[in-house]
Amino acid sequence: MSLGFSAPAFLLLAIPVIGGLIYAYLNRGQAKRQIVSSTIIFKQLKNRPSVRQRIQLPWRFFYELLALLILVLSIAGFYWQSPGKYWQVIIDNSLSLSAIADASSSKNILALNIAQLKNDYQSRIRNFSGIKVCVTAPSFECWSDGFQTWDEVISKIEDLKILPANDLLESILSSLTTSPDVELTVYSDYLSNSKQSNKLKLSTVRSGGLGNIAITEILLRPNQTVSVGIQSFVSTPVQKKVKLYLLSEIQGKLVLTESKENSFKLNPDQKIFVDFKIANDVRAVIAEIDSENRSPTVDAIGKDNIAFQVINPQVQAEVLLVSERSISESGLAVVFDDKVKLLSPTEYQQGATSSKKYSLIIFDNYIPKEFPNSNHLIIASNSEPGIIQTELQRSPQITTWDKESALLRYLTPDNFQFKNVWSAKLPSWFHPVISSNNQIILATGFLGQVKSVYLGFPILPLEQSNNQAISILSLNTLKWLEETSEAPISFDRETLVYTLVDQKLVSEIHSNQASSLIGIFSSSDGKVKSYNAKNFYSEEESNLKVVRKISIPTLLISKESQLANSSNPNLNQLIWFVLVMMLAALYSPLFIFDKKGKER
Amino acid sequence: MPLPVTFTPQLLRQLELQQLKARKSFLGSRQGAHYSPKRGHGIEFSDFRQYQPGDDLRHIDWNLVARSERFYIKRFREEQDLLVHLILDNSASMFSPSTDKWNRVVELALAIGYLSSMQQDRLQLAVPGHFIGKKYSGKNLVYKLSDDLAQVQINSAKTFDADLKLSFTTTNFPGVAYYISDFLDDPEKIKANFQTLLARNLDLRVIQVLTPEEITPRLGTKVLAVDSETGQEVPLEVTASNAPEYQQAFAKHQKDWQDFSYQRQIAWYSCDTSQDLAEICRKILGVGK
Repeated sequence: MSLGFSAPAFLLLAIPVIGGLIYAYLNRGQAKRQIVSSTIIFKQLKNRPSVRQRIQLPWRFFYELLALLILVLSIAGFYWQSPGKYWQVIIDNSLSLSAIADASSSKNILALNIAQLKNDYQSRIRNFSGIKVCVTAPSFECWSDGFQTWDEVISKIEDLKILPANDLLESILSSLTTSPDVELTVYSDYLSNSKQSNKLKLSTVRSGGLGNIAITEILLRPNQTVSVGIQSFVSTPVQKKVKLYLLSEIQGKLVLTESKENSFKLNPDQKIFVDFKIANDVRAVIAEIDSENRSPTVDAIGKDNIAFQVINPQVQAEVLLVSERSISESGLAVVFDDKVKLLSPTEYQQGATSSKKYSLIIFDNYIPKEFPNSNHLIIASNSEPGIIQTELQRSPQITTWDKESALLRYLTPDNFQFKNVWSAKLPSWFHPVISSNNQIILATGFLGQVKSVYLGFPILPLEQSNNQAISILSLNTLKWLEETSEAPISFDRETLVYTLVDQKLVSEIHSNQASSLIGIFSSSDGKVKSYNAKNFYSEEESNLKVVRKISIPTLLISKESQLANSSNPNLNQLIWFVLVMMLAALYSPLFIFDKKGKER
Repeated sequence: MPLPVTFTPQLLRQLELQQLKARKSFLGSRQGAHYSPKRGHGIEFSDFRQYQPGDDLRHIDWNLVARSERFYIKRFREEQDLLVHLILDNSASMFSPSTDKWNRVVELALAIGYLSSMQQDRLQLAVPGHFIGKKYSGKNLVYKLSDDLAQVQINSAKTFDADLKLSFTTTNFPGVAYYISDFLDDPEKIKANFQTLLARNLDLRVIQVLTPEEITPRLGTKVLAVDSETGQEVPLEVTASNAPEYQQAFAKHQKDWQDFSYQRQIAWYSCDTSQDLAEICRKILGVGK
């Protein structure tokens, strides 16, 4: 067991504190001097203090000294480390870790990080009693709460897959709670912004920028045109090919019927759209950038070279946006192309839509007087009350999280940090998805065959959202509302029909890990079979030109003070202990003066 | 310098009605209001003495000559002035904790001076460190005395005893001596001073001036009592429990002095600064005319 202080500089406080106590005590023992004309009578008194109390070092002095020392120790962050110290390892397995860092070995960063981890284990494990492994994707998760031997975890580490997800490492570290018995090492592709500490280390094999090309989106444009958006994160011009696989539904099964290929040229940091014409019977497309000649400098990541899109011919949808802002300001054109129609709240209120049915109505910062007969999304943020009464909540804490909801796919409560939300009192046919302090801020509902979603925080404009979680939630919500099935599509009824596994398109995978994969999924509700595409694109993960940095020292200071304070004799406990000592001293017979003025 | 504000017209009128009388006759230096042991001219008959050559023939009592056929002369008690000695204690204890005691000493001294002035007596002042046997007389006596006393400060030289003795070596005529102090000092030292004064055949009168706090100390927290003269420190806590003990010690101290004074025929008076000056003067300084 070893002692330690998280803020040893505060130990210097002991000098003035102890000095002050001794000075105060010496003064306390000295009675107040009072000049009198004569002491001749006083000297005859027998019943008076017999000696001056200048030098008295009885119990009380040591008692107060002890109390003050405990206070100083607590302020200095005193802690002791138990022998059960263990090593916590966070392995980043987000998309960016699939980048090839070494052209000769063609190994990705994750593989190199794992190799580094093995080396570190050999040199460091003697300092620890165990190891604990956590991964960042698809969400932050530690494999076990207890200690694990290296043999137990090595097999799991070897099987670790890179998943299409963001690492969210900064928020993970900032929300991490651990103890002084833990030393933390993060294997990622981040660099530390400044000096590191023994308590928290960042380890990466990446030292410089890499080049990459990624498919950002697949858009369905009018006239049976599919546009594949391709972004360059390369410093030099690149010439490549993009293939588009066309799938049609034959006898109830999606079948690859045709493939097309187009060449494109990308200037540094340029984004282009490559257009393909498709036939009417095409139900889904898969776009893939040619994977030949991949190198760390041109296309380090292969997993972002593919994207999926389904084409539902039944949906001749027209989306109505009821908002004070324009369509371009709302950013809905990116999702719905030119199918969006705009009405102001006043126009909508005047009944301009009474007879028409839309595939989706989005009420932006406006609450209608009655629920429409089309699928609708009500985004309430400081809106005038309508059919729903809203109430502002500041700094809400999420209390209910329906992880089964299709709207919350790929999301966890930790992804959201709201400042203000508007909770609502909703009809009973709404199902709460997210609640804050038992007040509903996100809910879905069915009114007959009409889908309804209430959102108590703004999500528009879509393009300008800085919060990736909000973007994912927005797309989940719009996708769910667009689906025209009569009943909600349950997630576990979906079947992955096409996806990319180890750089190869595969079909008909039935796996428990389907939710963490991207691809084309089919869902069936008895007679009707529908398809759904899941893609993942994140500029943070795909843009490898600059090595990202985290301000570890900032995190470390706060974290280490938490470590010290949350462990062993923590600050609050010590202060309470001192207070109890002081109270006890007040009533203790040890410190009550007797009749002669002496301390007993 | 004017008299203190406590010397109101009423007080002065009261003092004018009082008379400072010695308990025994003292030889004066000039005509005065006190009987002198000297026989000679006067109003009050003393005795007869056989005529001796050289006696003034005017003093022969002719009626007695006629009855006894012998020559006798009539003798009368002579009335002379009185020398009033003022011995004032200006040690540090008289100025501590405030100047109340010294102020009262000055007031009493001036009252005595005023009486002396009224009776055309002479006054001799002894304030150790400042005045050693300085004499005052005449109608401006009290004002001169007031001016001089205003200059008196604490005598920290501890030469009180020596100065006291020195002031009496220059005295030719004994008289009434007023010794004003708090007498909260070493009793043996004070008694030695008394012996010095009594040896000079003085009509010694002692006035003890105290403060109310010295008679009844305040109850309070612990203090370190520091003697104003010796600097000696005495830890002290006067509480309800030991206050009676103080009272007993103080009473014993006073009784010792009274017994000692009684045995030596010393007139002993005690007063405190809270008492009315007129009342003190009425009680201490002489009787009404």
